[in-house]
Parts: sequence; structure tokens; C-alpha cells
Amino acid sequence: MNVRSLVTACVMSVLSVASFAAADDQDFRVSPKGRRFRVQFDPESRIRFGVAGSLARTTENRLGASVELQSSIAIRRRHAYGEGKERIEWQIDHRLLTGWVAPTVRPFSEIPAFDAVFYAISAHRHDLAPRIVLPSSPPASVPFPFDIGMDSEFGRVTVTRALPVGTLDAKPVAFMRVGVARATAFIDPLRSEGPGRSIEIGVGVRYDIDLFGGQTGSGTSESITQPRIVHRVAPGTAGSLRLRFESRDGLWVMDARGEVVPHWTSEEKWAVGALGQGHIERTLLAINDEPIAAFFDAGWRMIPASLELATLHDVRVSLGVSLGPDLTPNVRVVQKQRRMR
Amino acid sequence: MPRSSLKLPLWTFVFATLGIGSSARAADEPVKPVLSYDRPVTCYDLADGKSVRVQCDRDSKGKTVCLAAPNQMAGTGDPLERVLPCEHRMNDDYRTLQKSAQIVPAIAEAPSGYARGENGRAFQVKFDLLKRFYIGAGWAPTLQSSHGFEIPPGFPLGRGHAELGIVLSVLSPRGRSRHDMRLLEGEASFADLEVHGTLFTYDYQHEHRRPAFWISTFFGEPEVHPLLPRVGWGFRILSVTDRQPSYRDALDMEFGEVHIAYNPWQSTDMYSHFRLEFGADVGAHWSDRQSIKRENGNYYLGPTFAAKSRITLGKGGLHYLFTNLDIRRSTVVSGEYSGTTVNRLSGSLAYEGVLVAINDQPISLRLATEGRTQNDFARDVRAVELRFLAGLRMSFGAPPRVFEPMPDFEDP
Repeated sequence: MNVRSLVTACVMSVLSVASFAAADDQDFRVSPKGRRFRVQFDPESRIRFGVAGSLARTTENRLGASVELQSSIAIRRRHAYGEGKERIEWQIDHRLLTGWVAPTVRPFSEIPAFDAVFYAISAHRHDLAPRIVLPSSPPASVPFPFDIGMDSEFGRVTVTRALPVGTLDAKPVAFMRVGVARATAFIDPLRSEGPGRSIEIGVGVRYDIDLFGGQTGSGTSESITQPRIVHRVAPGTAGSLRLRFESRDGLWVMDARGEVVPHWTSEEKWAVGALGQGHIERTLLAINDEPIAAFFDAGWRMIPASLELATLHDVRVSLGVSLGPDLTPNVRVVQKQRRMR
Repeated sequence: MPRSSLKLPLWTFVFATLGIGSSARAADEPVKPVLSYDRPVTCYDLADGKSVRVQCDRDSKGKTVCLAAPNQMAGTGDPLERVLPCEHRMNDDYRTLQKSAQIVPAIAEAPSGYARGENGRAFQVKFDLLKRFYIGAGWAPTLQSSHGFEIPPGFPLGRGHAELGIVLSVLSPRGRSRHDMRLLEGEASFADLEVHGTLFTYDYQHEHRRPAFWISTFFGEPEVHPLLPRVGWGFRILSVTDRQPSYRDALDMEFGEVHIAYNPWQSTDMYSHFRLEFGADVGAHWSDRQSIKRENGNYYLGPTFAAKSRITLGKGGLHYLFTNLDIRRSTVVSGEYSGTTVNRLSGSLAYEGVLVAINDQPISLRLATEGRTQNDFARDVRAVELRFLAGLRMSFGAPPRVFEPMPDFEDP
């Protein structure tokens, strides 16, 4: 991966609005009454506020229902360099302040269950004629039938609805996970020209900190004021698979990701964590061209046994609606370039 | 132009009876025609020092017919008020006109909302009671539940009331909207001195034709639909109820209320409407008026609902029907009764009709029945009050009701 071009693309994607993800005339239709209205959207350029009904596994191994509030700020910028076979397209997806909170679910103390990511970025490079140059003499150029990219996340904090319990006494302790950072480099054999479509097979690093409350039997499950900390570092051992799909009109979005994370812990042993998450979204309506979508979320996270605690399986599904302003740059104020949608 | 004549004696009463279009006269007396306010008028200054106002037209046979009306008040000879400016001509011109045309005695023109008597006095016959300052007094017999409540001597019949208020309703044709304001409205009963008043109320409604929203649907072929809800809004500031009959020692003060409103029906100029309001209010209740302090109030907040109608009968603005249903569910969030929730329901049905006008200031009859019920804050009892009202209101500054045409579309 050309690191310099990646950095350039990421920076430009934030600073510049002159991307070829701008709304153009294909995104609009004129009604019989003369109203010009939007019929295609960029689902990754949107501020979302959502409310959902949720079912989740509780500490007592039952299903608990609750209401979730969701939010995210998604910004997609697409840039192209060169023409013909030399053409390279970058799709940069930024996500800010993404997550959900279940205000009525308090697993411990007064803290509600939530999952929030401060910032995430996904960069996808599509080369019309991808090749790998081998540093032989003379250099050899070998066809490389994959798109490439990287996927990173910084500052993820999670309070699960189900708390870890003691292996022997099954008593819960307070728990919070701080995902300091993760980064995954991936290849994409799908090589789709459409935005938001990829099969990402990746390997990466991640660093998580698990905060546990007082020891079962002697501590209280209500307190995490003096936490016991377990550090988890995956030094390039996290394998992941991500499937992304967007319809041409941007009304349908599907995103599924699974990750298996063998990692070294501060307990000086190897452990294996895993997670899976899926998201399906359908834009149903738009009010003054601002979309309203229904979504279905599902997530599973396996936190391996540590300290005196058993393995924790955190499972939840939610179904809701989200709305918020579309952030696609207005074609009237940006340089118009060719784009897929 | 002044609404009332300053040159007439103060005690000159002009009575405008209901539906009046001309001055009172005997039934068999021929009715004089009236000059049109929409056509130019020529004034002829006669040799005797008087003048006449003339409008001419040709009849079906091609003959010129002229309506001629005195240009001064009968008796006093004062100039007419509320007439069009006219082109003045001399006595000789009038003689020439008399020879060539048929002169028909008539009454001078009057602007819309006014009629003119044979004595030349223009008097208001249409009233906009949504723009006025009013004072009123009446008889207010009040029935009250005796279950758990003390009823003083004199109830239910020995009860009167007085009221005042400022009402202002402004139609904005360019915005195709109406702004209703009520300022310093209050009423007091006697001799128990129940006081109810509101500092300021504002309501907004509209009859927009530009869609407020466009809803796009993406089921099958994308379509877009205009959405034009008759949704308005409003608020109320500082509403006080003191010595309510069922709680003679209590003071209730609603600091503020804000609501959104939906008008399922309204007339084209929004003068009449049926309105539903959904909102919330915040206030305080003191059970003992002798010790009203900030720290011993029961502060409440809760949702509010109101269904109101305002209907004017006919186009003269002489008859009005008002209905009102208010529901408030207040929960005390701070104070002695913290956590207590009380339901308050009140309703009224009122008729107001203009009876007479004094110097164009209408006096109206108001008949109303009002009901009110609410839970007690402390006890498990419910107060019920039913009041009947028959009274008179004197209104000041009520202009003629004007039917202002509105543009096809509001300004963007």
C-alpha cells in the first residue's frame, strides 16, 4: 500500500469538499408537479439520530428489552487520481461519535449500558489495474487481483448489559471495556466499482483495556472505583472478515463484520476473543430530502475468561429508525466530477 | 379618520340594532338609495350655502339619473364624516344638471362596515371583537360540590363578576397567517373575590399553501408528496387563579405554558377555527395564601391539552360562539406535595353578541356556562364547580370587521 497516497487521501478527504461524492443530477428526480426531489443517497455521508427497541442478553442469562438511542456522524469522501488504467479511486469513510446508549439499563452503579466509538476510519483503494512491483533487478510487476485498504478505530468504550460473573460463585462484577485502538489492513477480492461494496479480509492489531470491579466474594458488583485492569494486546494477530454492500441508489446498506482476536494479556497468557456485528439499513422516507431509515443491528462479543471470571458473551439485537441531515456536498457548490451514483 | 365624532354632543347615542343597514324608519316609508363608496362623488355648492353629494348614472333607457345626498349633517350642519373626497362644482352647474338629469334624493356614501342615517351620521354596523379593549360585569351564579368543601353564605346565587382585557388578532395576508394575542385579561368575582388573570397569551395559525414539508417515499417507484399541516403554536405567560371557590385559601400560579396546535378546521381568513393544542406548563401552588413564600410553594409541571373553537356567525362580527376545553395534568416536583399528580379539567361554552353601540363602541351580551373540576393536592376529594354567567361587555377600539383578500400563496 502506498502510505503516502493513503495519508494524502485521508487528509484531503477531511479538508476538501471537492470530492466526486457530491450529489449530482442523477440523484434527483422531478415529480409531475415539478418538485425536484432526491432519490439516491450516500448512506455514509449522514448524521444519524436513531431510536430503537433492543433485546439483549442479561447477566442472568435472560433476554432484556430496552430502548436504545443511537447517533453517528458519517462522512464519505471519494477521490480519483489518474485516468484509464492508471486511475486509482480512494473511498474514505469517517465515522465520528458513533454508538448507542440504553438509558434505562444500568448494569452497575448509575452508568447506563452503552457502546461508543470516538473516531473510526476506513480507507479503500480501488486500482483499475492493480499490480505488485517486486524489487528484483530488473523490478518485476505482478498482477495483484485485489483492492486494498485499512480499517481503524480509536477510543471505543463499552459497558455491556451482561456483566461477567465469577466462575465459582456466578456473582457479577462491574465491567467496562476501553478499546484504545485497532487497525486492520485488508484485501478486497470483490474489487467492485460501486461505492460501499467490498469483501474485506484483514489482519490487524488492537489494544483493549478491560476494567473489572471488585473481586467476587469480597467486592461489590456496584463499584468500579478501584478497578482491576486487564490489558489485551493483539500484535497483528487479529483476523477479520467484513462484508459491505450498498445498493446503487444508496437506499439499502448491509455491513457485517467478524473478528477473531488471539491476544496476549497482562495476566501473561494468551487468550482468544471474538466479535461479530451486523447492520442492515433501508432508507424508507425523506422529509425535504433528509432521509429517514429503518435499521436492524445485531452484535455479539466474546470476552475470554480472566481473573476469577468466566467467559462473557454479550449479545444484542435492535430494530429502529434513524433520521438526520444528509451531508453529501451540494453539487451546486462543488466541482462536479464523475461518480458512480 | 376619527372613529367617533368629536363635534357631536358627548351624550349623542347612536343605536345600531342587530343587522341594521339603515336608520330606523317606519315600515311604509320608502327607503332612500345610498351613494356608492366605490365610485367618484361630485359635490355641488348650492346658493343657500349648503352642498349636495351627487353620483350620476344612466338607466336602461339611456336617461341620466343622479343620486343627490346632503353633504352636511341634518340639524347641526356639520360636515359629514367618513365620506369620499369630492370634486367641487358651483350652483350653476347643479342647475344645469337638474335640467338634464333626474335627481333622486339619497343618503351619502359610507365606508365598508358603516351605515349612514338620514341625519348624515355614519355609524359602525360591523365589529371585529378580536381587536378590542373590553370591560364587563355580570351575574355569575356558581354551583359547587359540597363534598369535602366549605360553601360560604351567598352561594350559589349571590355572586357577581367583573372583567377586563385586551384582545388583538392580526391577519397577515402576505404570510397567510393570523396572530392572536391577549394581554392583561382578568376577572374577579365578588364578594368572595376570586381572581383569575393571564398576563399574555399568543397563538399562531396559518393557512399556508406552500408545503411545509415534502415527503419522499421509496417503496417501489420513488414519489414525493407535499405535506401542509395546519400546525401552529402558542404560549401563555403567567396565569393566576386566586381564591378559587373550592380552594378559598389557595393561590395557583402557572408561570408559563407552551403548545403546538393543529386546526382541523378554520375559515379562509382564520377568523373562525377549531383548534387542538398539545403542550406543557410549569407553575406553583400555594395551599395557604397567608404564607406565600418562594420556599413553601408546590412547584409543578405537566402536559396540557386544549380543544377550542371560535365561531363568528354571519359576516358582521355581531355574534360569536366560543367553546373551550382545557385539560392539565400537573405533577408536583418540588414542595410539600412532591410527587402528587392532580388532574384539572375545565370547559366553557359562551355566546357573545353585540346589542348596541355607543359612539361606535359596542356593548355586547355575554352568556356563558363554565365547569371546572380538579383533584385536591392533599386530600382524596375532587372539586367540582359550575358557573353560569350573564353579563355585558363594553368594548373599545373594535374596528369594523374587514374581509381582506389574501394572495394565492404566502411569501416564501
